[in-house]
This record gives sequence, C-alpha cells and structure tokens, in this order.
Amino acid sequence: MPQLFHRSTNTLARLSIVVVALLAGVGGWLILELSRSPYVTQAFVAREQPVQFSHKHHVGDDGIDCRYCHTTVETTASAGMPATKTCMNCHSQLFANSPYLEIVRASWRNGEPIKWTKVHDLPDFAYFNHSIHVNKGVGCSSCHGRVDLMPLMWNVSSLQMEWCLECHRNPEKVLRPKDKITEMDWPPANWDQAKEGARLKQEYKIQPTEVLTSCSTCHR
Amino acid sequence: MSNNSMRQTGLIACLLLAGLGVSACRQDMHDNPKYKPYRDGGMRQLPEGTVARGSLDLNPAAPKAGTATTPATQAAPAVAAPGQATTTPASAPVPTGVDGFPFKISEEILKRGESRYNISCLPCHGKLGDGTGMIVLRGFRKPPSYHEERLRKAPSSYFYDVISNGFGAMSSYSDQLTPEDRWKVIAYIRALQLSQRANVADLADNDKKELDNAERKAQEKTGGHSAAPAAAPAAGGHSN
Ligand code: HEC
Ligand code: HEC
Ligand code: HEC
Ligand code: HEC
Ligand code: HEC
Ligand code: HEC
Repeated sequence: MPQLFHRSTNTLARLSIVVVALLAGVGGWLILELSRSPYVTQAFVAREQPVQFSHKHHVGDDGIDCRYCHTTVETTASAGMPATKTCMNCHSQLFANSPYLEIVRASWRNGEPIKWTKVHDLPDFAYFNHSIHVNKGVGCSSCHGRVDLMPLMWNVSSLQMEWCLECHRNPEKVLRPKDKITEMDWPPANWDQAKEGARLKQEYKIQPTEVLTSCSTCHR
Repeated sequence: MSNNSMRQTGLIACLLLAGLGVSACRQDMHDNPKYKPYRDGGMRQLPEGTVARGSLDLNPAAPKAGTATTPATQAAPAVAAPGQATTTPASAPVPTGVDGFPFKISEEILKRGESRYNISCLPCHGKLGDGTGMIVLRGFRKPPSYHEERLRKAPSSYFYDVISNGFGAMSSYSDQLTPEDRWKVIAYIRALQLSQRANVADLADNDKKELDNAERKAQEKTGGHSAAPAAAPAAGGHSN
C-alpha cells in the first residue's frame, strides 16, 4: 500500500496548530475591538430626536448654563430632563410659531412630557450618580465632551466599565474647581492639571482607588 | 464513518447549540423590569402650589402649618396682583411688601446667589442686571433694569413674589429654584444694585444694614469697583 500522505504533511499538521491558535487569537482580538468600537457602543452617533433641539444653539451660541435645564445634576443621581415649561420660558415668545417647536407646544397644551430618545443609557445593573461626580469637581465635559458644539446629542465614550475604571484609577487627571463644572472649554491654557489635580484630590478628600474600583461601588 | 463518531459529532453539535442558548438573552439584565427616571419623557409640570418638604419657613407663598388657609400673600398684600397677570401690565406696579431676609447675609450666601443668578436669570437680565442678556438680544421682551429707582426701592419679598409667580412675560421660576435659593438670588441682586448705586441713602434702611457688611467683604475681595461684587470665587461652589 503506497503512502497516503506526503512527508511534508507532518510539517503542515504542526503548522496548522500554530495557525489555528493564531486565528483564535486574532478572532478574539477582533471581537474585543468590535465590542469597544463605536459600531457597537454607538459612541459619536448622533440620535434623531422628536424635536430638533440643538445644544450648539442653546449652550454654544446663547450661553445658557447646563443647570438651567438639567436642574437636578448637583443634587440627585440623574441629571434631569427639562420639563416642557422650561422650554416655554423662552419659546412662549421666541419662535412662538416655528413648526420645529410644534411638538413642544403640543406637549405644553396636553401636559404629556416630550419623549426624548435616550443617548446615554447604562445597563440597569450598573449604578451611576451625577451628584457625587459634579460635587467632587468632575466637569460635564470630562464625560460628555464638547456639548456646546453638538447640533444633535451624541456620546463621546464607550460608557463601558473600562471607561469608568480608567478615570476611577486616576481621578486627579480630570479634577477642577467646583464652580467651573459646566464650563465647556475647560481647562484654560495656564492650568497645570498635574499640580492642581493632586491638590484638589486632597482638598476634595477623594476616596482611595480600592474603594473607587471595588465592584460594589457600581454594582449594588 | 462509524456509528460511534457520528454519535460524537451529534453530541458536540447539541452542546454547541445549548451553549448558544445559554449565552443569549443579554438584554434581560440590561433592561430590568424596574423604573428608572425619564424612561418616558422629560420632567413633569409641578402641580400648582407644590411646596417642597422643609421649605415652609423660607416660603412666604406657602401656608404656615396649622393655619392652612392663611393666604401666603398676607405678609405682602399687594404683591399677588402682578404675578397673576398673564399679559403685560399697562403700567409698572408699585412694589410693596416686606423687606429683609429669612437668614443673615454672608459671603457664602452671596456666592451661592451669584451662581444661581448666573444660571437662571443671566440669560435675560444680563450679567449686570441691566436687562440685556443674550436671550433679549435674540428678541425676547426686554426686562426692566434692576437699577431703576422703582426696583431699587422694591422690598425683597416683591422679588420673591416675581420669582415664584412670574411677572408679565417672565414665567415662574419656582420649579427651577428652591425657596432657599430664591432668597439667595435676591441677596445677590441687592449686591448688584449696591454695586451700581448712585446713592446708598436711596435704599431701604433694612437693606443698608444687612448688606453693607456683606458688600464690603465682597468688594475687598474683587478689589473695589468690580461690576459684579461677589464675582469669581476661586474654588468656591457649594457642596452639601
Ligand atoms: C435649553 C435647555 C438645555 C440646556 C441649557 C442644556 N441641555 Fe442638555 N438636553 C436638553 C434636552 C431637551 C435634551 C434631550 C434632547 C437631546 O438629547 O438632545 C438634552 C440632552 C442632554 C444629554 C443627553 C441625554 C441622554 O439622553 O443621554 C446630555 C449628556 C446633555 N443634555 C448635557 C448637557 C450639558 C453638558 C449642558 C451644558 C453644557 C446642557 N446639556 C445644556 C436641554 C438642555
Ligand atoms: C433661555 C431661553 C431658551 C430656552 C429655555 C429654550 N430655548 Fe430654544 N431657543 C432659544 C433661542 C434664543 C433660540 C434661537 C437660537 C439661535 O439661533 O441661536 C432657540 C431655538 C430653538 C429651536 C430652533 C427653532 C427654529 O425655528 O429654528 C428649537 C427647536 C428649540 N429652540 C427648542 C427648544 C426646546 C425643546 C427647549 C426646552 C428643552 C428650549 N428650546 C428651551 C432660547 C431658548
Ligand atoms: C463621570 C461622568 C459624568 C459626568 C461628570 C457628567 N455625566 Fe451626565 N451622564 C453620565 C452617564 C454615565 C450617563 C448615563 C446614565 C444612565 O444611563 O443611567 C449620563 C447621563 C446624562 C443625562 C441624561 C439623563 C440622565 O441623568 O440619565 C444628562 C442630561 C446628563 N448626563 C447631563 C450632564 C450634565 C449637565 C453634567 C455636568 C453638570 C454631567 N452630565 C456630568 C456621565 C457623566
Ligand atoms: C472622568 C472621571 C470619572 C469617570 C469617567 C467616572 N467616574 Fe465615578 N467618580 C469619579 C470621582 C472623582 C468620584 C468621587 C470619588 C469620591 O467620592 O471620593 C467618583 C465616584 C463615583 C461613585 C461614588 C463612589 C462612592 O463610594 O460614593 C460611583 C457610584 C461612581 N463614581 C460610578 C461611576 C460609573 C458607573 C462610571 C461609568 C459609567 C463612572 N463613575 C465614571 C470620577 C469618574
Ligand atoms: C466604576 C464603576 C464600576 C466598577 C468599580 C465595576 N464595574 Fe462592572 N460594570 C460597570 C459598568 C458601567 C458596566 C456596564 C458596561 C456596559 O455597558 O457594557 C459594567 C458591567 C459589568 C459586567 C457585565 C459585562 C457585560 O458585558 O455584560 C460584569 C460581569 C461586571 N461589570 C463585573 C464587575 C466586577 C466583577 C467588578 C469588580 C472587580 C466590577 N464590575 C466593578 C461599572 C463598574
Ligand atoms: C426668559 C427670560 C427671563 C429670565 C430667565 C428671567 N427673567 Fe425676570 N423678567 C423677564 C422679563 C421679560 C421681564 C419683564 C416682564 C414684563 O414687563 O412683562 C422680567 C421682569 C423681572 C422683574 C421686574 C418686575 C417688575 O416689577 O418690573 C424682576 C424683579 C425679575 N424679572 C427677576 C428675575 C429673576 C430673579 C430671575 C432669575 C431667577 C429672572 N427674572 C429670570 C425675563 C426673564
């Protein structure tokens, strides 16, 4: 009976082990990369909203502070979404007949809140709280980016656990004075983050890394 | 192929399928059947007359405990009228009411007042309170300057009433400011008025006493003639 396989098959067989291992590795890496990519996390993807509300106009051009609308950001877990009355403070007069605002006026008439499409949405098993961050000198733009330049809202991070942890390990990289939290073009050119960050970390009595990265801080 | 290896392949296929079944359903834990804020829209309108717990003492617009029917405006009888007006009054009302504050004015309070003023009032009333905010430049009705004689003489409860009930084209800010913060904003407006004053003697006696101290402190800090007296605290803010 002649030899069924050629001698080189031995090498091929050994090689195939390496190739399979490599392929598995690359495959795994691809999956991990994909799960972090904007395609999956929806980062940088602007969402359609029922009303073409523009932060660029209201914050960037008109200079309205975030807390005019997101009133509970300093006191509760949620930043708060403005009631229709908040819009009507100005739009009872400004653009009072604009077709873009018809949904706002309808909501004002019938008392049904406007249903905004959620842009940031953590899974329900993770606990997040705005007030602790804002009151310890973490500014809006550290997490939400340059909101004042966004015609429609998008998010600028993956919102994944690794993103939270990255900052919880080194909070001094983002800390700023508490009265500057809503400032969008922070920091100014002459701000020395390394020096001031370390000082503020002491002043605000930021908890140690073990606490901030312990599972029960965010999964409770 | 033998029967045996067929069975093995079948088993492996079943296990793989079962594995798929177990690993699915991710979204169940992402969206628990529990209620989270703003799932179905923005904030709701506060029902009229809502008073937050613990704010009764600061809130002249709320009935005092025990005397539930005492109208709020009893302390400041003539101020209710402008608040109820939905159209612009033909002639500016003469502000009446009670002067003074429910707490002692301190630098801390002025700072808080400044930050809340900048959030809630500055868009229309402007940094100096002269009524030339950005929204006015975009076409909103121009409010009167705080430095008018009439408003400089207005008692503090008049301002409280305007903030709580609105006035003409300006809507109520009671759902954006707590009663405590409303008083602090008023304290800051007083400081603004003093900073732009022609003559202290024009002011109500009460205010002079209460604010002279606070204003001196604020001015020392900003070096005298700054437009906004309690401006730019270095690392101030208000934590609680
Ligand atoms: C005039 C009112 C107003 C102001 C001022 C304002 N916002 Fe908003 N914000 C809204 C409304 C309305 C929405 C919902 C529509 C949308 O997502 O664009 C929103 C949505 C958002 C969202 C996304 C919420 C989600 O669904 O995840 C973020 C983040 C946000 N705002 C941050 C900010 C920051 C930061 C500032 C200050 C720089 C600011 N906003 C100022 C009204 C306002
Ligand atoms: C403090 C005043 C103010 C508030 C509060 C406010 N807006 Fe506006 N809005 C403006 C101004 C001023 C403009 C014009 C923007 C510009 O051109 O710079 C505008 C423009 C708009 C436009 C575009 C209108 C058009 O016809 O082009 C929309 C839509 C809008 N706002 C929606 C909203 C919604 C929704 C809210 C409530 C969450 C809101 N606004 C709250 C002042 C305000
Ligand atoms: C430490 C990061 C961080 C900072 C700082 C931060 N946010 Fe957020 N924000 C988030 C995350 C994460 C969510 C999503 C929360 C969720 O889905 O439960 C969110 C959601 C929101 C929402 C949607 C409503 C809600 O609460 O779910 C608004 C509006 C908002 N942020 C505004 C602000 C404003 C205004 C500031 C600054 C005063 C700010 N945020 C500061 C991380 C941050
Ligand atoms: C840009 C920096 C930054 C990011 C991003 C961030 N955090 Fe934080 N977080 C902080 C700081 C600073 C504190 C304050 C720590 C302290 O109180 O000492 C904090 C505190 C907290 C606390 C309260 C801890 C306690 O023991 O009271 C929770 C909960 C929390 N963060 C959850 C999250 C979650 C969930 C995310 C991701 C969605 C996140 N954070 C992203 C900086 C950040
Ligand atoms: C700073 C906050 C924070 C801390 C600390 C933290 N987590 Fe998370 N974790 C999150 C957030 C936010 C998510 C949701 C990420 C997402 O959207 O996929 C998450 C998701 C998870 C998931 C689900 C992953 C998935 O893809 O469904 C597991 C499992 C998990 N965390 C385990 C842990 C364990 C174990 C620890 C402690 C070693 C821990 N976490 C500490 C914030 C945190
Ligand atoms: C959306 C724009 C806007 C905002 C924001 C605003 N106001 Fe006004 N305010 C007005 C206008 C317009 C008038 C004049 C109303 C009229 O004459 O119809 C006015 C009038 C007033 C008056 C004078 C009443 C009188 O007797 O003439 C006071 C006092 C006042 N506002 C206080 C405040 C305070 C305090 C805040 C912040 C909490 C505030 N306003 C925020 C637009 C605004």
